[in-house]
Amino acid sequence: MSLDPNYLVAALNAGRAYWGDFAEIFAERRADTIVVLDDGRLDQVSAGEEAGVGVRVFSGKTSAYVYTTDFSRDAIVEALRLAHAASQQRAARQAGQTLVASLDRQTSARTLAAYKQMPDGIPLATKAAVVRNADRIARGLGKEIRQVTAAYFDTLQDVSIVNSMEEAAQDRGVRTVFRINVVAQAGDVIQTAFESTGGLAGFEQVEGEVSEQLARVAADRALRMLRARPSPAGTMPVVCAAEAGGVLVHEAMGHGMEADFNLPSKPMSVFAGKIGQPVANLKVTIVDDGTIPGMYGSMNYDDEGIPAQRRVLIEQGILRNYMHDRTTAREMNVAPNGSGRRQTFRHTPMPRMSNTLMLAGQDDPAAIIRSVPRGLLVKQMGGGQVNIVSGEFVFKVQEAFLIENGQVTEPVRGATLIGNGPTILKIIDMVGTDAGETRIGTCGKYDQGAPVGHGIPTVRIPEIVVGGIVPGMKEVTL
Amino acid sequence: MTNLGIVQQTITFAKQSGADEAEALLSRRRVLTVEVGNGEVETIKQAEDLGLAVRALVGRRIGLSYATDLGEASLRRAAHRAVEIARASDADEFVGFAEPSAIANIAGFDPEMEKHSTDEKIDRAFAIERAAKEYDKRIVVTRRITYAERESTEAIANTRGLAAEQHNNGWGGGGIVIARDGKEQEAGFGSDAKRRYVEFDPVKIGMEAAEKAVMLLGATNVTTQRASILLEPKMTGAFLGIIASLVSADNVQKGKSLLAGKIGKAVAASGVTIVDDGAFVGAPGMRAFDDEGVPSQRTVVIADGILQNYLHSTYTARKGNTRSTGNTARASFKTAPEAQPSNFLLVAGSESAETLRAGIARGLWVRNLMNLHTANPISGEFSFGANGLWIEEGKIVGPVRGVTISGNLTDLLINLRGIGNDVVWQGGMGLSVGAPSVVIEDVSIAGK
Repeated sequence: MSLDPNYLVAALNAGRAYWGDFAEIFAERRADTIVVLDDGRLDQVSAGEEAGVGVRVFSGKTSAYVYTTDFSRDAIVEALRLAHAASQQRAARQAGQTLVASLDRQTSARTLAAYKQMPDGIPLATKAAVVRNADRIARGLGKEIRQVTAAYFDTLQDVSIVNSMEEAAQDRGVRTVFRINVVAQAGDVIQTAFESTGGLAGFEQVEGEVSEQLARVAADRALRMLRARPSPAGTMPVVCAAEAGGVLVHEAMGHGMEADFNLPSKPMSVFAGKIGQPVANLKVTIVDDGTIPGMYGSMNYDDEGIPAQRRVLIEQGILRNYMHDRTTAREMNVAPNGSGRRQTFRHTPMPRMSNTLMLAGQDDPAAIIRSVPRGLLVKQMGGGQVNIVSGEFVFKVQEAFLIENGQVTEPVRGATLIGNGPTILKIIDMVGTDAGETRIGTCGKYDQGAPVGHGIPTVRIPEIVVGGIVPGMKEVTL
Repeated sequence: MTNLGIVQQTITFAKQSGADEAEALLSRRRVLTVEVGNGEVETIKQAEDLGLAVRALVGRRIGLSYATDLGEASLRRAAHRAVEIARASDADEFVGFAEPSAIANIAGFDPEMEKHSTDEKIDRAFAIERAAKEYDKRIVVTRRITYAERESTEAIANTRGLAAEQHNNGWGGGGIVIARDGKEQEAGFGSDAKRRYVEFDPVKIGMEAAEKAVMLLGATNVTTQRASILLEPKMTGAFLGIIASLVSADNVQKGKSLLAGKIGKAVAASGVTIVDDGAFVGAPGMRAFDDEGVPSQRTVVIADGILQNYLHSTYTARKGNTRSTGNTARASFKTAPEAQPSNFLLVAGSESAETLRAGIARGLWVRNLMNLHTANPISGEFSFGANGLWIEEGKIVGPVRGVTISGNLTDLLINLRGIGNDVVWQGGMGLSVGAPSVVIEDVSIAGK
């Protein structure tokens, strides 16, 4: 299997009759290693290689995608033929518009990651030691720690992209990830805590003290949550701490600014048609930045061969940009801005986030907490989801404390925040000076996952619905 | 070479690399996906995909590797790597492969797939869009209305003499439509999964999506309180999917299920019966054998509220001193097999959804849930975003959005008070769930 751009260009040329208005070949080879420790022993150790070619042909507004694991020239030409035939099936035969992007020809010069320790040079036993140490450290923090799942992942991905506009890009991405989940139990109360780190980086991302510290943090939190009472439920002020992570900006704001939800011909998002308009408090600036060295959501090129970029989404309350892939950029007659991502060669590209960050503001973080008579301080967010049509979002809170008379008091568990993205953007009224610690996640959109990063400074939301247990007369337990 | 020939060859390579025992699984998929929107064909995706997974045993140590290239050098490399990984793994006395056994024939492949043109299949996607638009003039259809068909072949062999092959296909479709009224807009999602081409009904999908979107227009919030909920079948299915992970013997044996140690005990209200049946005729996950080659079977999980059985793979069965229930599944050829439900069914009751609703004094008819992936299977705690229709004295008062429903899965099963007769299946190969409408009392609803 060859990822040589010259080989792919020759295959593309051999299928010249099937280019339609635009043809592209995406060739990928990836090697993954997974080491999972569970229940005190290595539970899953696997490694392997997969490779394939995805071919895309546009005819008018219809695109067709065909993929195969066969790298022969005949197979690639046949994929082009099939894609072309499929794209013609019902194509509204409009004149093909020229795609506006141009690739950076200096491909080899661009790299955002130094990869100090390439994972393929690290013995399996050393990778296994990462999860074994994490298990030992977490269990060592108390007899109430009942279960530990620690996982190590690395991926080496080589990609070549060539297209009918005589553009070519070649790239290598290496990602290394560590995750730990700790279960603590005291009597009938069971609590879990989760921590992770990952980056466009080599083994240095997780080794030694890095993963050991996360094991301590997760175990400490699980133990602390055992003593926590259920969170109050209802509408109240909420402060999100800088270390909480940016699930809030990712869910409540980011998804709605992906251009495929904002096409003038097919508007879906609450942010459609609002470029240049105020959509948030003046204190709010949000960027999506794929160029931060080593960050989990960073990339050298997106999966259509466009160099990664820093995009200002909201600047002092004004909506500035959507995130575009080639298709949405063509329809909206702007330059694609490096947001076209796909999970593997089996998937079609679409606009996705990279690292989504709310930038620091002017408010003193301590003063933000002091300003709240009674509310919730969110220290760590969990998973979330958004409905981009209504703007409604919800996310889980992993760790929270009560704020009473401006003071942080006791820990509470089981809280969820639910609100409307555009509303929350407008009512956020304090933004801290503390640039947030960034967190990682796997973002799901339609059928695809993508590695992303997110972060915020300390912010105050004066009013939001906190979900949780409502005290009642009747408590049923087994 | 035949599919079985390829897997047999791979286990031979593993033996040559030093494996004491080996197993290989070849999975081939063919997919066709059509996406339309606003009268246009947006994307047509078609593919032939494959993956070969090889597991090797060295003593009591196991390793897994895989390849997408079926050339001899690639298969040798994967087999050799599986052996190397096994040598670096921890010994475990319970690892091992399935024994060969007789596999019953099922009608998993519907030959109608080959009898219809791509053009006709594109029309089925447009039929979803048309049905949604005809439902209400406030409906706007935008993009990604999807028709999908897939065909899969699995061949498996191991050094204990097991060799089996199966061929399945199925249809799915769905999409999000928007209801717009003035400045307000709401989304509705419709979907369906079928194993026979003639049963796949695009009109039903379009109407479901449209009804769910229009229903929410004008929604308000409610005060924070405890009240009953009526879950529509797909929302019951969402909860059932979480319950399904609690009876996986993998999770039970690792202490990751609140149902661990509860066999023979009452874990749900009387009247609640849940079964798992890999060969359930017409269910989305219908299959002849599981991902280790063990034949599909029917397993009673909960009978009239009493927990009866967990679901087992070969590994968990050996560890638990029992027999595999044919419940091994792999998320993909790249990942290790685990005990997972196949077709997981909450057996229907006798009442219609209307009768159930009429019996509710005050509560929420839950039509959509958000953030399902955040339920905690160990503590049982959950808190989901919800919307739907508010019910007072058995009658629908109006739509509600922006609330959460929270509680514990244990209480949820115990507080289940009514089971409908309207079972709906959803999902695909891998986990598929069938569930009717149910009523649950005394649930925390947080709002204004």
